[in-house]
Amino acid sequence: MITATHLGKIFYDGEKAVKAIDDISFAVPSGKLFTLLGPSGCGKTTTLRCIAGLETPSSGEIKIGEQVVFDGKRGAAVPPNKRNIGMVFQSYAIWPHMTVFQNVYYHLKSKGFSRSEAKERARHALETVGLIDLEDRPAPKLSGGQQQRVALARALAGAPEVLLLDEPLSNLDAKLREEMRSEIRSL
Amino acid sequence: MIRFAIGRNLVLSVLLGIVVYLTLIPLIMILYGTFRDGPPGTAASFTLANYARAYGDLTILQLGLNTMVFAVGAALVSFGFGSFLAWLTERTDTPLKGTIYGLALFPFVIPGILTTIAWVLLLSPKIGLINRFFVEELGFAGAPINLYSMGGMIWVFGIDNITLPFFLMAAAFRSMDPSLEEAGRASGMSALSTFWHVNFKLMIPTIFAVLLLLVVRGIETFEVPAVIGLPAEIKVYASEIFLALRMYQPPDYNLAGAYSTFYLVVASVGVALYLKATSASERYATITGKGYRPRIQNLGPWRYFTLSLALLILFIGVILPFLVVALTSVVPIYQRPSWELVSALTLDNYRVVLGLDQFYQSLVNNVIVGIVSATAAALLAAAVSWVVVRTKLRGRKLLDIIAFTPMAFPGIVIGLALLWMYLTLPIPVYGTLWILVIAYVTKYTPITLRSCHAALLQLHPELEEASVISGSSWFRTFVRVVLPLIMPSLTAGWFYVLALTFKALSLPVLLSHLGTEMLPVVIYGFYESGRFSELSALGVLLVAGLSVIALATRMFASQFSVQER
Repeated sequence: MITATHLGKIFYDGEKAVKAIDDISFAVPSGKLFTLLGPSGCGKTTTLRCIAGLETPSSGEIKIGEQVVFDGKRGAAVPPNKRNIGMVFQSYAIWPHMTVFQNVYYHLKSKGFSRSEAKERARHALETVGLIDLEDRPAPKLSGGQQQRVALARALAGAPEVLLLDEPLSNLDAKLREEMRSEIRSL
Repeated sequence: MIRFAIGRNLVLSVLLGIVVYLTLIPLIMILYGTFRDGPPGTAASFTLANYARAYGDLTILQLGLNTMVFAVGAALVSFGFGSFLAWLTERTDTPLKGTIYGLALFPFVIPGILTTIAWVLLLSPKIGLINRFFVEELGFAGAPINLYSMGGMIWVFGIDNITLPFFLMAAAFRSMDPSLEEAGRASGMSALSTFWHVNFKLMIPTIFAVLLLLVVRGIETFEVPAVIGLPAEIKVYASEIFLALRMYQPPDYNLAGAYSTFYLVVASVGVALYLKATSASERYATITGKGYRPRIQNLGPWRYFTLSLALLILFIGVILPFLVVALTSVVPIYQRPSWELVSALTLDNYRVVLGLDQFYQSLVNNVIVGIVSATAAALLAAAVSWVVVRTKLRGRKLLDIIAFTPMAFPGIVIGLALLWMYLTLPIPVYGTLWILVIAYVTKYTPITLRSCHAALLQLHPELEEASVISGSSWFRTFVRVVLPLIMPSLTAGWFYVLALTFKALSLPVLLSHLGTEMLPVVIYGFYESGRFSELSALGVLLVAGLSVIALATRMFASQFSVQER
């Protein structure tokens, strides 16, 4: 359950204030997919980044489950590394100095999984996205679609409370997109 | 959030403390010295006479003009050759790239004083081999090339400094996302207009930063102004300071300090320009998590032409000066190569050098001080750079400015400043190796800082954010994601600093004492007493040793480089 109440974010471009998010409220029940739809530049990414904790909103309140992760009145925020979140970035953000497997494994180790469990979960996640055969391949040698699947595997592997997807399927072909869609839905 | 913020602010405060101690305090001490009428550590009184002596007449204008012509001229020479070679090795199919790369790196391992003397041996009107060849073999009436001129100074310093622009531009070429070029071509631009509108314009901040670095190097260098400029009676600021400190008896520390305030002004201007250039470049994040594959330009038959051109540049600029030094090291007296000379070849000069206790002592000093300084400078630079580029902490700009400022100070000015500082303050590092470490870290952190900034600016921030989302702290993210990704730049910077401790003379010349001598100081001792043969032998040994370290570093760095294999 994610609850955002009267969320606002203002960026300053020099003296000029730009309202990226202007007083939005929404609630996403557990186990539901929630889609932000709109023209580019309307604040979709900024909203996701606020939920993730990568941006600090200017006002409002965000709750993940029962926990208040941002409280605009007190100016208090839970740092992103203390929120249990999986995220697929627009640029995928695949670490280029790691292999496919290491990308997922590092994520799981950071989440605090034991070595053996992290290995198992990483394998499973890569199987899910159909990349288990490429687990030892250096990340920069992947195609765009493959990188997107690594990003997805990474985001899913840790069984996060919240899964944030910033245009996650834009680079996949129609067939794969369909598969991924049902994969995400089944989670 | 609160713990998060305190962690970062603590890091910022510690880093600020370190750079203020390294940079600002010595600066204040040297300024203090310019208003005193006696040497450091003595009872002296307030005076303005030093400034009157330094800036009292019009020769100061000539000095400034000479300095700028020399520095800008040499910077253009270095930049032109360096980036041409970088483009060939990184983005074309020119053969023998390994050879070009190795040769372009070679000047890194040759001390400037050695190359400068090599060019004297080649182009001096009286003893220069090339000039004597023209006069004696081709019947010229007089020496056709005069090294002792502004042109000579620009040529020697320019050609000796191709490695820095080569390195920085190679890194920039390597990390440029080729899909940007392909997008340009796909939009109907010609190859040339793609180069102009995409490659060149994206690289403007890098180019500007590299040129700025080179000009500053030219302003602060003193080997060429001393060895070539003084006989030619072309004086620049660095050689004036050098004269005040080395030629007058006793050394006039106060006058030298007054001259060096010129550099405070230059440093402020340089720092301001640099900040302007890099604040614009934040828009150009060209490495993304999407992966990038540097694309290679197919030159067809032209690749043999570019190869010959590269080899010609490198032969004249790199091999020839070293050959002359190598030759001088195996003959009893410097003379023209001839068949009779072959029988006179000797290793005596090497025997003399290897028999000196001074040689071993300074070698050990140099290795210890070099490694400690290079490591400290690399870590400090990486930490400062990350705070400056990635965080939004208040005070980060200040940190950047203070850490970068020593870039513009000649080694000799930093030496002078540290002398004032540690003879006045009760910190017992004067006369130990520690004062050298402090000096090197102060002087060379900015160089590593530049390459870290460049590397970090080109890393997509989402790579770090993905790690934080994974639950990593900022510290773990820094160690596991940021450091490995900037490792090629960091290793390059590390080696550069290490090599400089073996090469640079101006920094240790005031701070080294009996027992804490560095190798360049020993070489300089040979130069002052005219022992060119031993100087050459020691130079060849030094170059050989540094080459080994260079190869090891290159192998180490290549493990981290991310590219299509």
